[in-house]
Amino acid sequence: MTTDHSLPTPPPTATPTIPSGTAATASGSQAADQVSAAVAGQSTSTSTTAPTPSATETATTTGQQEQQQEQPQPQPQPQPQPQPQPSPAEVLETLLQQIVTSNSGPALASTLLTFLGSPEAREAVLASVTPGGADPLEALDAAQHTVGVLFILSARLTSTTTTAPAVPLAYVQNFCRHFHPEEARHAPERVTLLAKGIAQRAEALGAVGTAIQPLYDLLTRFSPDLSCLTTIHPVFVTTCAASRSFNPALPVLAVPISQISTTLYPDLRYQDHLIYHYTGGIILTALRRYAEAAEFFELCASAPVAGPTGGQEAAKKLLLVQLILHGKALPLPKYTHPTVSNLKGTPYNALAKVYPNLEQVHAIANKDKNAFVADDNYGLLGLVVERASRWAIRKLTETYLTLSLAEIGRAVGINDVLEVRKVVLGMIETGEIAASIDASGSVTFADDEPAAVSKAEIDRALRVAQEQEQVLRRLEREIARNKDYLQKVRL
Amino acid sequence: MSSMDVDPVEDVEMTYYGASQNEGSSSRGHWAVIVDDTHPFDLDTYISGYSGRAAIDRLIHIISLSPSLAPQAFRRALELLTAPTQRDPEYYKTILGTYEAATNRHGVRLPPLEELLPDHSPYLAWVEETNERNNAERRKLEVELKTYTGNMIKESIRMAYRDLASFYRTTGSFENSLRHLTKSREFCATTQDMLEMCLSVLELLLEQRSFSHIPTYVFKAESALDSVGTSGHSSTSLGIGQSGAAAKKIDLHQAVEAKLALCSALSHLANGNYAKATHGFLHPMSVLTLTPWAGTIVSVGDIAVYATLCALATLGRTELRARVIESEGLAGEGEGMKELLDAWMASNFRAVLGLLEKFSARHLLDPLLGPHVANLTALIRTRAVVLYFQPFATIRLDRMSAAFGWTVEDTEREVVALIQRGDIHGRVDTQNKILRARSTNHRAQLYAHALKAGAEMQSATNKLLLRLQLQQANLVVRKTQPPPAPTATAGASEHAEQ
Repeated sequence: MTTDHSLPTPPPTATPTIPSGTAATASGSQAADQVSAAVAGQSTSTSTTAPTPSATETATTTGQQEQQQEQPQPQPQPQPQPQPQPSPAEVLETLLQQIVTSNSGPALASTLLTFLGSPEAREAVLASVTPGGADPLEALDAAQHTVGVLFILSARLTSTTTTAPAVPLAYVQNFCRHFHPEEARHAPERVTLLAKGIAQRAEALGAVGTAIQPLYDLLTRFSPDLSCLTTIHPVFVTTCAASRSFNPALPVLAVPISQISTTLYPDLRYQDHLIYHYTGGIILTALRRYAEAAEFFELCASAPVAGPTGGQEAAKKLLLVQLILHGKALPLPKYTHPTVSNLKGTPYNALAKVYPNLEQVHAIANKDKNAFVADDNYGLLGLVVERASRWAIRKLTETYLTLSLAEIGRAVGINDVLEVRKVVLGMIETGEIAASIDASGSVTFADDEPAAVSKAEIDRALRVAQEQEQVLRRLEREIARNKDYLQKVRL
Repeated sequence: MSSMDVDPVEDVEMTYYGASQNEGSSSRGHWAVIVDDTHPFDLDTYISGYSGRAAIDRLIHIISLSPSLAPQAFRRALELLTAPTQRDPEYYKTILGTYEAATNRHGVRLPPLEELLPDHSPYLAWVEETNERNNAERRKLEVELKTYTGNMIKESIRMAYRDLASFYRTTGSFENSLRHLTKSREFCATTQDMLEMCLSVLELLLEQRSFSHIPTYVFKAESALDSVGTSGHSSTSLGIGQSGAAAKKIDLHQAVEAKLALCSALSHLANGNYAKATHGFLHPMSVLTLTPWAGTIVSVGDIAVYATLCALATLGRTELRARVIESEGLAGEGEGMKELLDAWMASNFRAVLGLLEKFSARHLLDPLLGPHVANLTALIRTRAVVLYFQPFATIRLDRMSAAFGWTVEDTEREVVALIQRGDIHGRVDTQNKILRARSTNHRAQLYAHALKAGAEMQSATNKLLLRLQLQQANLVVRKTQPPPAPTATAGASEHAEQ
């Protein structure tokens, strides 16, 4: 770190297709020009252009503006010889030097993003090796050169044509464990790319599971707060689901998403929200955490929608999970788009109507088997059917104090008394019903007293409610200050 | 169930037992009502409440439903038909047809038609004569109408239409009658005329038992009544004046309101909306206010029966006391209804059910009440069981069945149905045959409920806030949602199958 290399930074935008020339106009740095010239000779006209303040102002819209203004103006640094047609390797050499010498994350990020010509050319450069054939990653340290490594690593992992050697898993793991989160936040798109790259590479190698640990590290360290949805969330849960190792996802799934920030994560799309909650719901279902799964599916099903959509997958799964959880289907929130919530005429609706009547449930499950299989819900349906008799027994406890096993069997639709006994015993064990069976086979249901509530619990509930109230009050004040809102109200 | 008032050939046990709302009306006409010593029915008393077409109409109804009364009713109907005021030859065919249909019915043995009516000729002569007279009168009325229309005298045209309508009504041509009444509407100059027209239509609709249009005309009549105001028109044009000096004291408003309340109540009854029907039936009405409908369209005694049954089926105890026992309405005046109410108020439910059973034949043979007897009885039973159980914490089912006169199995079935519908808060001990009221710890329940509601509210708020943020960030689903992560789906489903 001999010289300070800072550039006025155009924002790293979601679309990396911005012509490098326009960004270069805002730059006074010769070094940067050298690099871009070295790539494809595109900057011949722009290298002489004077910096225009207006361009700087319009271009800097993100939070990185302040950082850039705090930086003292830099001195130019070592100048590589411009070559008319340099090989990617040579450009990489130059880049490496910059990476090593740079101490400004945002500046470096924008340099790497914008001064390397077309996206294809940039990726080719980033994914290449040095002229000496050495792996550029060897020369860089994860913590010190986070931005540089991030760019190269993501390019290498996603590149399909690279000549460079495959990145060893250990290196990826090391980077994910030790990278500098603040620095990485200057290039969120590259983090997305890296996450996808890690997942892709692991899949290509046929070992999806190996991606979980690095992705977990990346996600937990990169995100300032797990309740904030990132682009890594969907990649992470999809990887967990695909490798069928559901438990590692739990710490992430346990934190409900409550913040959406497009300033921190400009490349967030609506699919990220949908996929995360849908896949999260599937994982939680597989782990038999039905209450949480229902919440996830509901979030997915009730996502804000503009225009007609065909996606009822989440609503269908939600219905099945609710049948397991509550023994009946509950309505979706009022704001759910009707095309999503309307399951009329589907076997799902029919199932919910007759549940938990064992005979009819079986009839529907057999008749519409194909529909459930087509929706990938047949396994879940099996669980729903299995629970039907339990829900029917639960209903009986509301009406009866004592019943013989045979009577229960008749009411529920199981002919075998031993089978009934097994189910009832299972339910008593899991605490679903409070009952006892005596020697003659008569079942006595105890009163299901609501559990006593302790003072501490009440206090906690009150505290939570007060916190929530403050959040809402703050939000209301913010809206009351909102210019657009005030204008609308005045009209 | 052995003393059921229905033909044992048909599967009616379910009809009577099931509290299902539609059962009663749909199965009407499929079974015959048996009248015997335990289910008395006095045809003469019953039919004396009606005159003219209303009586014949009810006799035809009885012929089709009750084999044991059919011959008697048949003779009465023919007697009434040839009375000097009647001039509907079509009715002759209807009566014969109904009787024949009744004899052909499965499982019913009736004396053949030839035995009852060996000689058709006097009736055929009557039919021919009546037809001639009717034709002459129709021509006369039509000529009158034409003349008035030519002269463009509005009031006369209206009256001509009205006369034609009433002519068609007496000859059994209801479509024509209704059409002429509707036409007369254009020539109604005053709201008084309007009111008269509406009441005529309502009368016609009641007679026809077509209840679907009644609310429309009730509404029209009400607005007409409002604008008639207190201007104190003579009530002669509404046919109230004829009933003598006492009638003059009856205010026009009272009379019309009573009729309109009755119409609404009957239409609600027909739709099975018993609560609203009760409200209408309990409107103060009497023979005086219902004149000239009483006897020709409805019988006051029967309205009292409808009122009492509906009130028992839908009103709570205190309301029943205030609105039925201590009011001056018709409820409680019908045959056996006083005893019924007394038994109910004394919580003698066995007697209540016994009385309902005893009068069931009479109720079933009533064309307006018949389709609803099963439903009303079921509702009254439910109410009775709920009322009976209210003061108990536990009760043996055998004691309960003694109080209602049922078997223990019946009682248990009834009670279980009520618990499942949420009418009784209790649970059944099937081993010891005990019904036990639910003891709830209200304090603990309140806390648990509050905590649950709080958690739900919070979760809903969080979801809404997230939705708000998604919309602010413009992360809105735009096109068809892509099938999210198919590999993941398959994986989890397989897992679940294991």
